[in-house]
Amino acid sequence: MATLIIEGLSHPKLCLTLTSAQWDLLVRQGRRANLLGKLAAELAAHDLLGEVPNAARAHLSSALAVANQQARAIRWEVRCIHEALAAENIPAILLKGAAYVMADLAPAQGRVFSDVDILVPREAIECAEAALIRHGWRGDHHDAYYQRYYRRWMHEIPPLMHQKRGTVIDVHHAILPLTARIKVDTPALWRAPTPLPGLENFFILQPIDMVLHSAAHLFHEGELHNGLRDLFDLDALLRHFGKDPAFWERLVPRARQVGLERPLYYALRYTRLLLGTPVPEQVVASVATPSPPIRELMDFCYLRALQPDHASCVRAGTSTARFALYVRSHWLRMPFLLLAYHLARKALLPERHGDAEGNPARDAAGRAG
Amino acid sequence: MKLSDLSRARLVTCLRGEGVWLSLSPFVVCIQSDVPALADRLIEMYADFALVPSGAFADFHIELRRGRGLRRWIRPQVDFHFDGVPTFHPLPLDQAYPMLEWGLNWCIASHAHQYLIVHAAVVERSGKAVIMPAPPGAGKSTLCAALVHRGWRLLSDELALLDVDSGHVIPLARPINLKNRSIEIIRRFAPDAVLTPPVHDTRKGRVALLRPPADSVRRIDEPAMPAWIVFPKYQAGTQACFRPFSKGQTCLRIAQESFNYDIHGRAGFEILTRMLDHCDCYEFSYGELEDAMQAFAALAASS
Amino acid sequence: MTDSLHRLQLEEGGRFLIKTWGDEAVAYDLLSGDTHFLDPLSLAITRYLSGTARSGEEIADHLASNFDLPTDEHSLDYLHATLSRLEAIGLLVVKSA
Repeated sequence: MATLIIEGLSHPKLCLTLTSAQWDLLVRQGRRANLLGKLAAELAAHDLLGEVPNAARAHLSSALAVANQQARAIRWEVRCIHEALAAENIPAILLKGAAYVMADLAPAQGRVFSDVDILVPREAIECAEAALIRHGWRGDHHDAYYQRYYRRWMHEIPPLMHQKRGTVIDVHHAILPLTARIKVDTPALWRAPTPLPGLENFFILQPIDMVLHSAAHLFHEGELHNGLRDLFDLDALLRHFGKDPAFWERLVPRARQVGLERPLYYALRYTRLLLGTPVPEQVVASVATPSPPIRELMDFCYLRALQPDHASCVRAGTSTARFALYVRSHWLRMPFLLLAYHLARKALLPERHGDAEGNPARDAAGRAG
Repeated sequence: MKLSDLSRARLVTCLRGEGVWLSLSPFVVCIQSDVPALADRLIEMYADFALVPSGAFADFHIELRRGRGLRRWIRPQVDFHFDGVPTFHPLPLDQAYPMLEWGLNWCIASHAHQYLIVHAAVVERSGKAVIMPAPPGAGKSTLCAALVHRGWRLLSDELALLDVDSGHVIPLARPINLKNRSIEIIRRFAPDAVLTPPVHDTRKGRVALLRPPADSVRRIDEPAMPAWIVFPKYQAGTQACFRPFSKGQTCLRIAQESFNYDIHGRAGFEILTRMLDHCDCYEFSYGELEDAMQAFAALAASS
Repeated sequence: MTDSLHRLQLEEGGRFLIKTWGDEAVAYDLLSGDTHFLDPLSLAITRYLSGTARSGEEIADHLASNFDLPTDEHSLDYLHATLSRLEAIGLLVVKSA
């Protein structure tokens, strides 16, 4: 039941033995999981891209072009954000995709992005929002409920979109919501972030915190459209930072200190199970494990929901698993009554239509005519 | 094997089953549908196109499905699925075939970034291509339809695919999308042309598609080098006239009419400027098609 | 910006690719990914500033004498707008004296 895209990314050489029908499926799974660019980068790094059959290679080149463009756009975006915040002397930590690109870390290769996430000190968040608005960003959530939902209950202000470039920034002041059932020591993350050369007052998390944040994010997320991609991010970070033995020695104690041991447990479990990520046995043994019924339930859910959201990856229980994780993510984030209200509200609002990829060329069919 | 080698009944069965695997030259598309009328349109428009064995590699898997439940009977609708995911708002059932064409445009324009893609019609003569980028309403498709009935080869009506290494335009030669008055204009201009029955009240008004000339389909694997960039504009009552146009502004206008210029970054800039080094750029206004044909014949002869 | 205390010069970090056809050009910004059109006046300014910082007056005088441009209010406004645009896109940078 191994998924082709996981096989292909884990063993790039294997791709060269695929039939055209298998390539067809690999491209479709990769496209749906937003991992085609990564596959292309992986094959290129092993000098294998030239040996891929033409028809499939075209899709890989296309995905790589998109990923390269996005990396370039992120670098420019970060520069513009820096310009806006530097004027007010607001420090910021770049999170996830933007951090990988700016520090040129392993997960950046061929990765696609949706928006830029930054963390600012809690007391500076309104000042940061005002500075960004002065530099051309605008809030796009006019619904008063969402405004309240974000400001009161979430760990961020509503996303801001740049008027000219159409890019979106999420400004956080904590890495999990204020109401989250897991209490995270966000100030601890500020104690020793890694500076970004050339961008004064801009940082990325130190390696262990970056892994913990990535894990916290993925295992609190309700909609796992990019779940497999995020799991591959974790895999790349663990393989990269894990070359240093000190990383493994300090990983679990730090997770305990900042309050993220449980997400770390899931991160290690599912990277190992699904992607074969090497993790020292003593590290695995030292992470606190959930009780057996919870462990089995989570295995049931995540082993399904972390697969690409493609028809070829559906098996018995997949939609139940996705729904359970969706509810769980909200449960983790919100007080119960608020949760009931929020889910009901989401159910009542009309479903947004369009393509699932949020592609700017979405209106091509309308334009071409 | 060509699409015309299949009987209508066989085609309907394929659409319902493993799909019709149609070669559009640089792309293979797998089409599945439970709308039988789609088979008639495919026979009219794609008869000369090759089929490839089903179950191998397709660039795009698309389905046109009738709405479920009551929607099957009351004001029936059709959904466009891209690889299993509904991708646009449903349309009335009689728009299934135009929806297939528009959806295919979307598939190509939003995934085929191995090419620089420009919203433009492209025709060719003696190995030299004319690229005609234009916003809707400029008369691009009408002009393109007329030209391909007067000795020019159809490369594309909507999407100019530029190969980023060679600078060639890669042919698509799919049906030409005619709207409103241009349907009658082309019927009069080229009485032999095969058009689908017009579909009324689409988002673009009344629409009919024009079958690509057999010769253009036969030569679908022959790319062509761009030699002219022409911005057409229909203006009633004017004489056909080419006016030289600035290369710098042409560059910007093509970038604006491109679906993925930004994705190509520096490479996109370099392909585009290299192409313009070897092209003459014009604005072209015309009021009568016959007049326009003579002007284009003179353009081809001038080099 | 065009007072004599401030001088303008061409961006020299290799941020732009410039492609010229005759008296006009296009400039590609490697950082932002934007492409800009340079009309004959903009191109003349970038050529004049290549390698040297100049004040607004110097630029106006140079253009007036080399391109036989009038020095009326309207032309100066146009020059001013052009310089502002070139600075806004990052092709020209202001150097304080």
